[in-house]
Amino acid sequence: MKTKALVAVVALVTMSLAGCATTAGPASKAPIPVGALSDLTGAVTFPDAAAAAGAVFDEVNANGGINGHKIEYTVEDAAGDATTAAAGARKLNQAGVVANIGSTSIPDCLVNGSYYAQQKLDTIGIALPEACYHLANYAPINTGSLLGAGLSGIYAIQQLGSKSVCLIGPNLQGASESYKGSSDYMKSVVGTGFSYIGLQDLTASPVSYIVNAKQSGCETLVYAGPEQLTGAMQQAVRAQNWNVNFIGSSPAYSTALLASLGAAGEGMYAASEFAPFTANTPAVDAFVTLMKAHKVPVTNLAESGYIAAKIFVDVLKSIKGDITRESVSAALAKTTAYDNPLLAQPFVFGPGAGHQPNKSIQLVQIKGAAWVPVGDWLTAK
Amino acid sequence: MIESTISGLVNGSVYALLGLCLVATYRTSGVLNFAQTAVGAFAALTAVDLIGTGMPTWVAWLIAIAVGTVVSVLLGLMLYRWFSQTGARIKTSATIAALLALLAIGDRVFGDTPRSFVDPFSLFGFTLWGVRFTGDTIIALGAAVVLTIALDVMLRRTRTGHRLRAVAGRPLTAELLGLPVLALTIIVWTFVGVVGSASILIIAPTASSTFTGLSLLVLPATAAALFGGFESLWLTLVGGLLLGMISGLTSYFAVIAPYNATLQLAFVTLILIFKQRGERWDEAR
Repeated sequence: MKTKALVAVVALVTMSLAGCATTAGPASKAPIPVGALSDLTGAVTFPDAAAAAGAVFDEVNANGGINGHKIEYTVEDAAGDATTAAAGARKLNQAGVVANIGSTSIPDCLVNGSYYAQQKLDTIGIALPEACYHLANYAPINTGSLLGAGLSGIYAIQQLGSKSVCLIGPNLQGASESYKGSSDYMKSVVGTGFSYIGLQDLTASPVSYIVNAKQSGCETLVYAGPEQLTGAMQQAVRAQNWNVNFIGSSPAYSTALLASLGAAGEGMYAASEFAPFTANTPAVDAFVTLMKAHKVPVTNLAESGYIAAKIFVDVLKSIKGDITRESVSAALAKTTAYDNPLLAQPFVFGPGAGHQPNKSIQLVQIKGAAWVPVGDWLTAK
Repeated sequence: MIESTISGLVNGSVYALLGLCLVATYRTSGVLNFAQTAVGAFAALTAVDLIGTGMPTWVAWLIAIAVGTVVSVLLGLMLYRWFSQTGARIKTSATIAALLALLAIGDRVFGDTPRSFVDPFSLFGFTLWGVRFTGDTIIALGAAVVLTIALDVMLRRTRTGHRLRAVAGRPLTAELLGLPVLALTIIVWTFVGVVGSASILIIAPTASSTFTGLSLLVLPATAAALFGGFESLWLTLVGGLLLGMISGLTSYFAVIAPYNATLQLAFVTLILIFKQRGERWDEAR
């Protein structure tokens, strides 16, 4: 009996809430459903990008939406798991989302690529695996590890004057090909690739790889691991008394890592894929203010989600007539260039079997216990 | 190449210390404890997360060792209560089940995100063939040698040592002879918990930074223990260092370096084949 009563109460409350929602706005036009598929739970989580995109959409809605249409943002949890990711993509598709914005999930690109093609559902997301750069319906907002490491190597040769550069990164699936790709790209530009590539076994100390790199005479070490491993790597390099330029990947550009390294981090570089969020420009200030207002941590991933959402709002505004998946897809398939002050070059989705709209990095360095941008954008041709 | 091989001693000292912990448990309780490093990993991750909340390092370490010890004693009591009359095989299987359970629980509690471990011992060290050995490695090696000597003396020379060996070898007979088996079990698993947790805390900054990574260090540790036949403490020490040096050497060759972890399997297989030959010889005689 008790449960029945409870069900009745819940039903009543839900009905009245639903009633409120539909009668609240006098000019209530149909909302625009937008989705995202991110790893929110599980072993490794990436909630920041979708949270930042949500903040952008909330701001748009507060200012009246897109021609009176509110954006209805749904974030599905992929839990870092292939089955959950596949189910999440289907759920978003059934909810009729016009596009996925700010998706950050390891399995997403690996399992849902052909499904998105079949359903003609486009994503402006964050590429975690390299596979995201080879899908017709997915445009990553980030530069990615392959190009990022290659450009870092080029920076070391051209700007730091290093004669020999080494690359170490975790021995994950597909990593070997990715690091080789970085080295080949670097060679095509400056005539020399990485003189040592270390595939780091994550269950052991990195000392052997560091010793090998040191022996090969490198003057710069590019490290392609995630934020948390970068701290340990940096410590291990210092423990070997090796005086080498250290360039971390884009996740290493974090205020948390800066704090945990303390004085030991002084002089270390990282490759930012967007305008550095620790710089003082009006565009960065707008991003940081919005994140703080919505209690979203100011990180690389938050910035990527923010830019993806900003660009998507521009795309929606450019559409004349009804906003549907078809009209969004048609707008994205055009080679329209969307400018964003946080990107080095305009964002183009366009047609094609793969997309890499962001081809740039901006080096940042820890100087006086703060991340400081050094030099200009470095862009792949 | 020499530098790469020598650098393997950093990992080797880890394998040796953990291998010795396994042999110590085996010789005092008759159990091959596959869950040992997972218990230690539980302690290490507890410490990191406590330090993350702003707690002083030494307080966090003490709490972490206490947590590891409680988990270890619970495991020991479970084995004593439910599996005391069964053979070594069933007990070992029970520890594998415990390892799987701990891996699942640890994954829930700590996730598999790599952590930055506080490294209080990296400030001092020495250089050998171009490789710098920091405090962690020196302490791990020192602890391994001290543990070897202490266990050797305790098991052979003291009354408790004899009693423990009796319990490990013939638990039922020991109980019938009136030995306080429950008390001895608690002593052993407390000891194993303290030493196992402290070992992982010392080696974590140089070894691995994830819960699963630390837990699975039981594999090279088993290989080291196997080298000593789960009996000889000194050979276990040598086995661990040898295994580390082999993995250091292979990291030098680009072609085989990515398959570094697989080499432990090859190492174990070779030892097993070698040992088996010895057994056949014995049977033939």
